[in-house]
Amino acid sequence: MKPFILFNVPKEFSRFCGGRKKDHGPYSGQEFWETVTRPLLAEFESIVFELTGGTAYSSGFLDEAFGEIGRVIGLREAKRRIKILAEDDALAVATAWERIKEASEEAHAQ
Amino acid sequence: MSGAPWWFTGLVSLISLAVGTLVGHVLTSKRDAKKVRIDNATKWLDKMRVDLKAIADAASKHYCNAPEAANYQSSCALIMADIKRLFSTSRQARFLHHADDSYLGAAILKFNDKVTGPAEFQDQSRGALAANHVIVTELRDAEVEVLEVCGRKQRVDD
Repeated sequence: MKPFILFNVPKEFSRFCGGRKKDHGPYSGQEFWETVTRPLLAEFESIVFELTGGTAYSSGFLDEAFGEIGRVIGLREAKRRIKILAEDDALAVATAWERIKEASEEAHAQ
Repeated sequence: MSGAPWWFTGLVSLISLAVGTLVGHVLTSKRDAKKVRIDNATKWLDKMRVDLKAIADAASKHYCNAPEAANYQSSCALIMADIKRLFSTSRQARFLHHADDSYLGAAILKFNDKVTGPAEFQDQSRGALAANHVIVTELRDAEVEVLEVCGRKQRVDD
């Protein structure tokens, strides 16, 4: 497994992220999960997602894009391996971590 | 006639006057500072109320009107940008009880989730939702929760 990657979402994915599902248009959270988050999780030990510079991110996008991290590796491991940064959008960071936490709790409750 | 020399009496009077003036100045400054903090707290609460209502109204309208291709994406973008700003504004508050800071943050996260979380938010293929649709009622409930926390006592003393 490679050690580290910094993924700049506005530059390498889109400045104008879309909605929750692929059916609702381009740059959706589902597309992000399938083409970015999941492959990076498998390839890199430590990942920094830089959200700074993007327009606002919907809760639906963040849920699909990052929430699954909690289900796949759990909250504790997510905190160790993942950093989500957004200098201009504290709400997006808080929302993404809330979704990761919820998904982790749901997965462990089952 | 015995007693303190005239210059000593004068000096004591001057010192008393200076101390009195200084104490008065400090008390006035403290009162003014408290008044400014009360004004700021009132302005903050008014702004939160106005902005929150505007966002909730826009979000309800967004869901209850049939999506129009021309302005659908801009409607989504405006609502998301406004919630982002609301969250920034919310962090300027200094609540009496520190726990209320995190309650407000959590309430706004929930509000954001109820507004921009549903798949219908950016689904242009959906039809108009009824005014009593669960998405609309839940976002209104979340609005009330945010308002309730905003109204909690703020710290205006030192």
